[in-house]
Amino acid sequence: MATEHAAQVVVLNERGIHLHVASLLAREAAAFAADVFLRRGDVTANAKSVMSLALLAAPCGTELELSASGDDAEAAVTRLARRFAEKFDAP
Amino acid sequence: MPSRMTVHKWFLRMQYELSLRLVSGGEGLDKELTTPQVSRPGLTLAGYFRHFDPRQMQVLGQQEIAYVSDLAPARRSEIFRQMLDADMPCVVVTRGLEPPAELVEESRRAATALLSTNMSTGSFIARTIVYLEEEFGPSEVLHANLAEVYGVGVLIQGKSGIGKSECMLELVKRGHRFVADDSVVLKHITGHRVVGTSAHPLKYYMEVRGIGIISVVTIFGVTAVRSHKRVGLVATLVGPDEYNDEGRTGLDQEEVMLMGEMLPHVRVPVRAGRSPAVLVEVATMDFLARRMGHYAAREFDEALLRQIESGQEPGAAPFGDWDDQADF
Repeated sequence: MATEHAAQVVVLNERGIHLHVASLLAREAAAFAADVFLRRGDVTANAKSVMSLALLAAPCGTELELSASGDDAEAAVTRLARRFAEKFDAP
Repeated sequence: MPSRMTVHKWFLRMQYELSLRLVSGGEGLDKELTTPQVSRPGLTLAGYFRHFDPRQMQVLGQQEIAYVSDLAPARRSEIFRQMLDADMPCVVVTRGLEPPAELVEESRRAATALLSTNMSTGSFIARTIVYLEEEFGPSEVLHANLAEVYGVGVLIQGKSGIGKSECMLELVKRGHRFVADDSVVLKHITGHRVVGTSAHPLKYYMEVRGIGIISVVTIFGVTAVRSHKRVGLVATLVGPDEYNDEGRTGLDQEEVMLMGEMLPHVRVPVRAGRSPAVLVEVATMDFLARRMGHYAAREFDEALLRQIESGQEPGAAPFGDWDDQADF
């Protein structure tokens, strides 16, 4: 059954969501069947697309709204929120 | 070594580059060259035959010819007879010098080719050794395809049945050139280069699943093929089960070792209904751009970091203005 979940996350990576971080994030998001989005103000990015994530231009400390819809939406939000806190194991 | 390296083969391959001319002893052209070394037989002509290596091609330059021309004709005959009896692959006289009549006679008698070149001894030897070292150099047969894409030799590898031949076919259809399908002989040559050619004696044929053997030259024409090509890029076709998209941003250049040389490497995901040939094409274009110093992924990342550091809210044309779009 399709569900929707959301959480607030904070970018902790020192240089924000630059290309390397975006690619790690997109790869993690792509593992889920659910559609995953990140919103910063007026801009909503598809979390599975590196080019889309680049639109956020999110520096360190930015608050983003993480949302997902689909069968594994809850798992996606839980996992990605944790990965944001872990900085995706990247600088 | 793929096949016998005869004097004839070397002569045919290099006659124009080395301005070679056959003087006598043509029936000896079938003799085999077994070493890339060549010899200047100065001491031999003086009668010192110890350590004389008859496996080497003998090169007579100005000094050797000047020396023997000072000898009495009988002695000249004798020394050339003794030398030619040792059975060398061939004898070459350089600088366009006239070969002594006794040498011509002995080459006929011993059925050993006598050749002449206009080149200086030094240049002749240098080029001959480079050619022979390449011929005798290490080679390796790989189950792969080789195409020339935008002038770059692209070695296409991947598991059996992944679609290497179909990829090759589509590349040729798109105007690129066929070098080898299924089996490629790679040769490591001087100057850190790896050159590939078809392992099949009948070049320019390929097997296409569902159709059978096709002739690339007949179907696509002579400009669609080339006999050999330096490998510049390695593309590995990978199925969905093998492909893990480990942050594939293009920020780092993957490399792979091929015959002791590090070559740029791309992994091309293959999925039903998609064309790996287009991906190979674009990967090659990106390779060319990088070689010219345009590293797209790094440029993109730098622009993104500037945008992040500027602290601007997202949404307003992040990578420059509309100033390059004059057509509306």
